[in-house]
Amino acid sequence: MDYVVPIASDIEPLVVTATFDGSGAGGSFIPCLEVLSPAGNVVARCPANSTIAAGGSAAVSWFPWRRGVAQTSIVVPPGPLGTLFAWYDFSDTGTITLDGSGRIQGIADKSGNGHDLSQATGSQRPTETTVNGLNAGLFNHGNQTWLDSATFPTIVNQPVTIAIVWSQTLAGGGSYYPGPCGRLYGGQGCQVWVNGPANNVVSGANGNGHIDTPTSAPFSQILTVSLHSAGSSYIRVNGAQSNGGIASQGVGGIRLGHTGSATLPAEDDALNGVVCEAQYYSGQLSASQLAAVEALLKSKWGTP
Amino acid sequence: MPPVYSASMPPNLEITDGYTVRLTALDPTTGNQVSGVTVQDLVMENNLLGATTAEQLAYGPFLLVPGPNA
Repeated sequence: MDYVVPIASDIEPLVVTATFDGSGAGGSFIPCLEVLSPAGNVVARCPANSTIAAGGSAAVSWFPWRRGVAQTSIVVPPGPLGTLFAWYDFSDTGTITLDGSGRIQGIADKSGNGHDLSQATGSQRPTETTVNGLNAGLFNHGNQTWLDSATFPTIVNQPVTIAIVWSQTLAGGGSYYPGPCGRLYGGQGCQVWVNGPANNVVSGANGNGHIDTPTSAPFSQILTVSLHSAGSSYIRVNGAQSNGGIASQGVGGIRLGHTGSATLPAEDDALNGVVCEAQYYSGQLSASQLAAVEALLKSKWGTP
Repeated sequence: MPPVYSASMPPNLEITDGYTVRLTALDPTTGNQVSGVTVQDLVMENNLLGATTAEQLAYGPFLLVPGPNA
């Protein structure tokens, strides 16, 4: 439909509105306002920001755009904030590869660094479950399930920050319990596991770790953020921070669902529980980044 | 009632005589016109800026004053 500006007139459109009936159209379309010169050339084109499906209709109004109001509140981006080198999000099913039995054969690294995890043995693949309405990875101690990466060609040096949402569903008492993440055999990796006798969650390497906040197993999903930085490492559980002094090391590979300590057989075992999401950062998150990451993961996964 | 959408166009879009405002349906992939779409109930509200047969000075609620060192 055309409107020709009358002779001896100038106009400034304030609003243009029309109904587009696409019931006779063979395909989808974008409503568009065009300005044509007297020679018939298109000199301006203002497409709508929506595509109408084939056979559909739309009532469209064009308005002159206006400068927006300044943003006055902080918007937390829906993702990690520091320098990621690995990110595993089990709620993003597009990153998960299932085998023919519905078990997780692999999960892609969302950081874009290619540190994908996989499990070649079918019986040792985790399954899927739901946490807070989201898809999550369910790891079975009896089946020795885990997912791991290839050994990194270069060790990611300390400091390293790991934010991970997970659960431990074995009954507590008197034992060490495997945690959600560890290292590859023969390679370095930061660990998180449960110290049953002390009822706490620890991190670090080779068993050198502690936290002051008791956490008795079993427990539903929790959020742990561990900073691995030589002898001044610490761990936070649901926002409560331990004292420092945990010895740690860099990361030469990642294994989820298994603590994987070659030197401490008591901790060298598979998790019985859930891993929801794990974010590995190079360096130490700033205080504001740490607060935002914890708030985001707490809200997303419903951790305490 | 079909779904309602808002779209944007440049502010102060002055269109002079002889020019045409056209509403059309474009293919999202090729940008070519899509046949079979009918446009109905067109309403345009405009500012009429005046005749163009003679040059006119713009006027309004403003006052020009000499600047520093003028």
